[in-house]
Amino acid sequence: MNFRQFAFNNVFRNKRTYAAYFLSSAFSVMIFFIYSVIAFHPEMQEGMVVNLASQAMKIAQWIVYVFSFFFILYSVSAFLKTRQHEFGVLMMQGMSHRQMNRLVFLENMIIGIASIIVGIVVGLVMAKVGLVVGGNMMDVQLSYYIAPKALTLTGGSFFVLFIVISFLTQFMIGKSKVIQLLQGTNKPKPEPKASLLLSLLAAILLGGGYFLAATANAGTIGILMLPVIVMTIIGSYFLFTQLSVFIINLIKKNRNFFWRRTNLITISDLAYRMKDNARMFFMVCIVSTVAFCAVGSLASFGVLGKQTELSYPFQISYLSKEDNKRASEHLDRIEADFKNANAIYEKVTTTVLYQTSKQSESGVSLLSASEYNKLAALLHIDPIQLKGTDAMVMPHNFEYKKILGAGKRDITLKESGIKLRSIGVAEGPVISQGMGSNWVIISDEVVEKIQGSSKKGIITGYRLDAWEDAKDVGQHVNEELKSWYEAHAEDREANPSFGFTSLADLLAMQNQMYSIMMFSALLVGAVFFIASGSFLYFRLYTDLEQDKERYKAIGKIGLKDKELSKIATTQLLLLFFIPIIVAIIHSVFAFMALQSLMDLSIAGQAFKVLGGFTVAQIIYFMAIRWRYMKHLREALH
Amino acid sequence: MEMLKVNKLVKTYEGKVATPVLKGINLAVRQGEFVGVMGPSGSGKTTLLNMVATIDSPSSGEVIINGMNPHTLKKDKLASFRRRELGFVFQSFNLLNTLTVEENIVLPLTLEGVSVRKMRSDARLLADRLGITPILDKRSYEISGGQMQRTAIARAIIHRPKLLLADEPTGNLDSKSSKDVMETLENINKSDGTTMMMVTHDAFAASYCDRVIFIKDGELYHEIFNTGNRQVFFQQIMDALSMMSADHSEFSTVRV
Ligand SMILES: Nc1ncnc2c1ncn2[C@@H]1O[C@H](COP(=O)(O)OP(=O)(O)OP(=O)(O)O)[C@@H](O)[C@H]1O
Ligand SMILES: [Mg+2]
Repeated sequence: MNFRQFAFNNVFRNKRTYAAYFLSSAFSVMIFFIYSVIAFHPEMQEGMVVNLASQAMKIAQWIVYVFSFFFILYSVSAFLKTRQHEFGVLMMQGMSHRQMNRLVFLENMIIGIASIIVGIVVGLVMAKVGLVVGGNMMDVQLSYYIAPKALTLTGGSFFVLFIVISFLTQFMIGKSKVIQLLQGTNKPKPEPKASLLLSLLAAILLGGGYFLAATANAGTIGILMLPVIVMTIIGSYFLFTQLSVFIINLIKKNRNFFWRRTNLITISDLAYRMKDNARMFFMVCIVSTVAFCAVGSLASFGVLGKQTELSYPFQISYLSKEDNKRASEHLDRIEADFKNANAIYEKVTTTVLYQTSKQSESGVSLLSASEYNKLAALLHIDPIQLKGTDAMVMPHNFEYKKILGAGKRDITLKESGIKLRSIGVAEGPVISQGMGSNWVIISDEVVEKIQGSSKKGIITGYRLDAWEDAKDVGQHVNEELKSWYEAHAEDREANPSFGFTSLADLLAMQNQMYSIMMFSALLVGAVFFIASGSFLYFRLYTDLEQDKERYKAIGKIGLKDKELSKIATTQLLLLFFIPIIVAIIHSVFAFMALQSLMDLSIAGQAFKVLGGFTVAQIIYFMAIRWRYMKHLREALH
Repeated sequence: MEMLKVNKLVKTYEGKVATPVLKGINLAVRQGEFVGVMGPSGSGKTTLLNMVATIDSPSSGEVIINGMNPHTLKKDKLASFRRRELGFVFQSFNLLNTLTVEENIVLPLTLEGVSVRKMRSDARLLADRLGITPILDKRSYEISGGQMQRTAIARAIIHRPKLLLADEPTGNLDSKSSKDVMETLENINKSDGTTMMMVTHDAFAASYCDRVIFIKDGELYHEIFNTGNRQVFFQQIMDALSMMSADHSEFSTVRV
């Protein structure tokens, strides 16, 4: 047995100790690899949206990388701590610090290289799934192809990561005395002192942060975001290190509760390890909150689809300006498409007038009240009455509604010199987004007066119940429009003589973007979630030997199997769910802040995400409990 | 020639109340001598041994081993000092359970970079001498307490240390195994000339020593020399122990 063999033996014979560390490393490698495979896939390099997705993947990939770095660093230090006793024995045998550093370096590199290999090999299989799922979500066909660059990037960057981490380990073993190392983890750390002041500070910071988040609106959210995040992080830290100890001390004073049955053991244990636990709680809580919020906010963008629908009351719209000579040809085409799709629709035509506002020097689109009422009737919106120079503004899309609400203003029309008095915001839009902007509804009298001085446009709207049928309708017109824009990309002044919008087309693009972001967020969320799970696993593993000893001792006093199970389960429950519950509360307030940016409720989406994570945590809890109880029972019998 | 010299050694554990555990111990051990340390539980025997073994550092006073004060050495020097001069048998074995018995035994040699062939042959010889050859390939948690103890002894002497320190090496053994272990230690002491210092509660084990010193409340209390007859020495030790406990208080007990 030479030195290198010694390192090897240490790793391979002690699989269980290294398992959590190894698995979490391999998992990080695998996720990074899958991202790379998708990002570097040749079919991902073409097309605007897909290319954007490839960029998103690359960003997500490096987030995973940076996080993996800190996560693996933490794992190593937790792992080295469990081995202090071993290091003490080795030092007594005359191992020098240099040799110890080399041993740890070697071990780390063994684990690192093994996890790179395993991560990539498993990744090769999982990439198949990733490509199919990702491809489906993004609506592109991704064949099974592994870009060589994905392989080299993953291998290379994680090799560097493990070298850096292995190098950093030598600062972790520290300069502890042999006697401290030999006593190792057996020595309980003193309970942290609960200071009333800091406990109060925790309550104030969290309360304040929650209050600000809950009351934030679209205008303030930008300024408030950073302070609220900082307040919540500091507040959580003191919540776990101070307030919790404070509460435990209160419980201990209540003998009626504390001395009842198994409570004595459960709670004294909890207090005994509070210092270690507090830090772990804090980390799990923050990491989980990040995971919940990342996935949750993206999931919330799902409601954007609904908002888009409301901005396009007519699923297919066609705008023809005065100089357009191809209107009837285009409309025939569109209607022929409808016929092919067997779609039933309602068709409406309406006339728009264009003038310029003196105040803002920008064009306004004018719609007569009777035209508005005609469209409104179709959309089940109440009609309006306008007299003289009274006018109403109308949002050009659903989100714009709120912004329009503020302030009444007068509009003077440049071409006709008529001064309009805005008396409010009209319900709407009654015309699809993209058919015009700066909408103003005017009375029929004013329309008469400005007929002569205005340019005109005719909008044809098609309304369908089953709008999915209209997916391919008007593709030709759309293509024509797109190529017109491409041809006139340089000329900012030029305007096409016709316009076309298709809700189905837009939604398809939006959905694709959304799916891509969701896919990336889910993968990142998974990494964070697994990480928080590993923190818990490390914590349990660190204490397992001690727990066995303790339960053995308690067992001698006479502890029924059921009682043992109850104590252990309660402790695990607290360990697993205290940080998660706090994380869920944090996230709920984060979603409340996010809600202020959205018009439609995101509660459903948020509930789904938080529920999903909770279910995953419960499953993880059951699995760990089962294994943990098995270990304890083995030790007892 | 003095192998070990302890001068005015004081150890105080700092804490809420500073507890003086060793209150100025003076001690000299000749090269090749086998010294036993006895005393009531909590009297400071393990603490003394830990100071000598460089596991813990004294509050004041000095420890001179083979003419050197290890507590003043730099970290790396201290490591090679431990490796070459010292062997230590812990009260609680401290074997590494990732390694087999044989690997545990050769551990000090691997650190030194000795050739594998030499390590193997040394380990086999030693295992034969200690009667643990059949279990060499087992992992350390698969063997009995007595076997662990002998493995720990083998690990402590394989590199032929100048000074072997043992904390209750027979504490967990039955009388037959105790006898085996003590005979092994005596054998190593006589044939290799290794200097030894052994803490024990067992008067029978102590009777193998050349000299037994008694510690009480952190101070040297008494010492007696072996004149060559083990039976007589054993009786002297028993007398000294009962004298010490009677002196202390009627009810105090010494685990004998
Ligand atoms: N880390 C420590 N901090 C404070 N006091 C300690 C510490 N270690 C030991 N002591 C105290 O020092 C005294 C001597 O301890 P030591 O372990 O040397 O006793 P011992 O003679 O070896 O006893 P035993 O025969 O039971 O092994 C004891 O009273 C013990 O309480
Ligand atoms: Mg002792």
